[in-house]
Parts: sequence; structure tokens; C-alpha cells
Amino acid sequence: MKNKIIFAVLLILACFTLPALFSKKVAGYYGDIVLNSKAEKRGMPPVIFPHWIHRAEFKCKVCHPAIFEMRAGSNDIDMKKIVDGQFCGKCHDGTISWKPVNCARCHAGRPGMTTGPLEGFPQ
Amino acid sequence: MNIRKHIVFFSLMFTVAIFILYACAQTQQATPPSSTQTTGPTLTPPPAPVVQQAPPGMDFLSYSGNLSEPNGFPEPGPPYARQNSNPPTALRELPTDSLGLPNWVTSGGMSRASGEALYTMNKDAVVIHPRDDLSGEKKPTPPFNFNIEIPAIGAMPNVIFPHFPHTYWLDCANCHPSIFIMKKGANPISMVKITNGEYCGRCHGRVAFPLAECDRCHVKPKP
Repeated sequence: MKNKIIFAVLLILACFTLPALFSKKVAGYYGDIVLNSKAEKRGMPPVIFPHWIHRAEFKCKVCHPAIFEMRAGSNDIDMKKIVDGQFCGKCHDGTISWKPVNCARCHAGRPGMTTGPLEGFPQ
Repeated sequence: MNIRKHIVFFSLMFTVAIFILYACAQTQQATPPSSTQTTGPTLTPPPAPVVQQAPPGMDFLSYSGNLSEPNGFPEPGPPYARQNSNPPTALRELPTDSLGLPNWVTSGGMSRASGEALYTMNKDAVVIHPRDDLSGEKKPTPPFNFNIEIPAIGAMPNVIFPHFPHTYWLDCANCHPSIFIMKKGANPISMVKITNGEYCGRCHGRVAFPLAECDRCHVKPKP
């Protein structure tokens, strides 16, 4: 009898907890690009580039292919180049958009992420 | 009978416990952050160290709080609060497709029309106004209407590639001639190659709408 009660309690518990465990909710959004060719080697978290917010403001042709080549990891981006006004620094210099002073705004990934589109979304 | 009673009792207890926990969490979230209490009749002077303004919306992936107060509550408010760095909230006015992602084609001012012309401009449907260059002074180049029919294997409806929405977002140099050779039939496109990231898969499935939305490309039924 006791076994059955325990089993029932476990079943009810499972109803609440299992969906939470198995639904792999990814923090991020479709189209986010992880950039981690240099960041983690140099002791920073990987960069997450959110395409969605840039897409609402600019057409693709503004950045591709003049500023960025359309393949994750093929652009040799560097913090020094950004500060000098290349790549992200073309806008993120305080004139068009905010300056790259808040590290965690871009370096928002978790260690171990691989360069490319953020995983966990429908292909 | 006894077992059933026990089961009912335990399940009731469990649901009540869950409810109480949930209510507690809600009330905790509802309480205002302690750092904002500056006014009030206090005999002692306010603490000397000035609370540094948190750079708002720093880590949109995992961090939801105040950087100067890591254990504190998130600070709501424009312009870069977590609410605004939350894509489902920021993009809630955009029309969505079958997967719940924003339909960038219709939100950019184009909507699907029936008949020969697949895409036509629809001024009323414009939600966003993406710029054509960094300064915003360049006049937008008019997209051109040129549909290409690509035969599909088996019973799948044929693909119609519309140049119209693609030239709205992109330049010719983005795709031609590096990804697609400008000659009909010169590109051996297949779904396997697309899933592996060639041809359409350079953008679709990564940034542009996913391949799971079959009916956005495979539109023309076979005779």
C-alpha cells in the first residue's frame, strides 16, 4: 500500500517537474550568431550577435558583404579593430550607436559555445 | 478505499504547496527594489557610497538584474531594460509566420498576393523601416519583380524564387556570383545541400526564415 502511495506522489511530482526538465528553453533568439574564435582564448565570454534588433533597423545590404562577410567566423574581428572603427565599430562608436564600453552587452555567451548560429532553434 | 484516500490527500497537499510557493515567488517579484528608497523621514543620513547607475540591459541572454547589485532586482525602464532587449516583447507588433518567428518580408512592407505577382508593396502593412545605408541618406533602390521557378523532386510543389523581397533586403552582390551563378539551371540546388548550408542555406535556416516552413518556398503545385 505504501509503495502505491509513494508511486502516486512521484507521479504527481513528475507531472510538474518533467516538462520543465525536458523543455530545453534556449535563452536567445532565432538568428543569433555566436562568435567565439578569439573571445574565450583571451579570457572573455563568447560574443552573441543578435540579428533581430539589427534587422529591424537596417537592411542586410548595409552590412553584408561590405562590412561583414556572410559566414560566421570568417571575419577577423578584434576589439582593437572595433575601437579603430572597423567592423562593429563603424556604428558602435558613439555616433550611430552606443560605444563598446559595456563588455557584457556583447560578451554575453556562456563558455564553451561554438562559433556559428546559436543552437537550439528550428533549422 | 484507503489507498484512494491517501492519494487524494497527497495530491491535494502537493497542489496546495505548489500554489503557496508560486504565490510567494510572485509577491517577492512584486516588491520594489530596496535601493530606490531614498526619501522618507530618516534620522541618520543616507549612506555615503553612491549607487552606481547600472549599465542597463547588459547581458540579454542570462542576466536579469542590476550589475552594481548582483543580488538585487532588475530595474525596469527604457531604453535598454531587459524588457526591451527581450525579442518577443520588442518584436510583438511584427506579423509572425507558422513557427512564431517574425515574418520579415511582410513586416518590411511586402505582403503575399494571389496570382502571378507573388509579392506586392503594401504600405499599410509596414511595421519597420529598415535603412538602406548607415547614414540613412541613400535613396532606396527599388526592388525588382522577377520570379524564377525551380522544379522540385516528387510530389512537392515547385519552388518559386521571388527576387522582389530578396532585392528589398539585399544587393545583387550578396548572392551573385559567389552563391548562385546567374544562369538558369546552372545551380544544382538540393534540399540536402541547403540543410548543409549551401545555396539558400547560407541564410535560410540560420538568419532568414527556417527550412521547416516548407510552404513559403514550395508554392506552385505541379499540374
